[in-house]
Amino acid sequence: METSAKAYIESGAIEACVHGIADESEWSELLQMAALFPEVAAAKLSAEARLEQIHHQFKIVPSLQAKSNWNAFLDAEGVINQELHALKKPAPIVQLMPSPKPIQWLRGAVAASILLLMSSILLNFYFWSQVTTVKNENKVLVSQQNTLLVQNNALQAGYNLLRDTAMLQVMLQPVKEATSDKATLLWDTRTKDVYVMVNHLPIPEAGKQYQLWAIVDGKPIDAGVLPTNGGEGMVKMKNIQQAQAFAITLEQAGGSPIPTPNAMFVLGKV
Amino acid sequence: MSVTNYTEHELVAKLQSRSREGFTYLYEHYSAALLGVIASIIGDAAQAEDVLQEVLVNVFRKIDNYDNSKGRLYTWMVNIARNAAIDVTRGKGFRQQRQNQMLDENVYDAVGVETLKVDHIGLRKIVAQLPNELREILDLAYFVGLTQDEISKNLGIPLGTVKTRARNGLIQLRKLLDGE
Repeated sequence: METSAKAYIESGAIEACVHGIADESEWSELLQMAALFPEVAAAKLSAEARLEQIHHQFKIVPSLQAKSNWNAFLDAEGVINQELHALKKPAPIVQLMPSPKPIQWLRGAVAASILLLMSSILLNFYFWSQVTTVKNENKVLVSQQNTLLVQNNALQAGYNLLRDTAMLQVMLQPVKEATSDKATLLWDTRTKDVYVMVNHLPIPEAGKQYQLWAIVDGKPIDAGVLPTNGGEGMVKMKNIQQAQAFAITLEQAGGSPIPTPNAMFVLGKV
Repeated sequence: MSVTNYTEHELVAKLQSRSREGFTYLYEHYSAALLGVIASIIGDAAQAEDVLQEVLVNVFRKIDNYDNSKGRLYTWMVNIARNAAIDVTRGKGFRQQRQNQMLDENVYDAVGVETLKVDHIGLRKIVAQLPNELREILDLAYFVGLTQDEISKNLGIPLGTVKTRARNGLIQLRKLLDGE
């Protein structure tokens, strides 16, 4: 091992960085040394693993309340298992059985042949119906997969929007107490486009629709209605040039020129 | 309860895709270790749980910023946890408590008596067993959260000396823990 690498490893500089007590210059040095010397990179990984070990040694198991609080947070954020488990491929089409070997003796040959022919025909019908069933199942699965892919694309597009730093994120929080109603609003600081994602809102009864409002100088401005099913991921709303706050109310289907009093569900200040 | 053990790479992928399974796994495998770290800095296991929630939420919000070029996932999370806990200790009400503690610790140093004035939690108890010179630096850097530069100014010791003692302190600490 290079003496400089060895000396560096023995100096304890790596532990100082990994344990969080080193300054920026020490970190720069570590990253440089790790890039230059594989031994240093390995020692760094080792120190990090050791850190985790030590902390597990002195762990404190959180209370049930803490776990419950964490689950509540995940629920509120709408974190579900949205991984698309690979859909099972449809079963391969079953091969028809090979035709039976020719019988040696004539005597039983004809009878046997007829019997075999009949079983073969029966089997054909049987497998044909299997194939039809499988083909239908396949259609259903393909359709389901398409739906999921569309949903996934929408969600992915939503996450891409969330990650875009030119987007101003405004959380719309419940107006009524003790509900988990929530919506996430993104406002493009460049184009002034507005997007909304419903994290949680009660399903509207038939004939009603949620409507987004931009509050401008104390006055509500219509920012569009939300799709009745809440939409998939981020829904594009109207373009809003300026606003101090955003709110969602429940209106008649199609929306309303002015918001209905006491029908506000969530509100967020910019 | 998951039976699988995810590699770091797999776990990060799950977390970055906002998988419930991923975040549940994270909680089950790391929350206790993180809580230990937080409690050793705050000194109060109950209040530490509030900070734990805050830390986990932070991890959730910032997970897209994580990449493994600087280090492992756990190291990144510990950094968030330490910063959160240290921020709490710098809050108003806490500072009074802390100042009293530090006065006691100065007395401790001057007299050189080996009794713990404050009930230290976890790793901090082990650090307290180090030789005074090293313990002092490590305590301030590790659990009080002062930068090495701040320690240098507060104690009137050259920065280079602070760094050497901090590093030696960690080496000694590792020996103590390995020896157990």
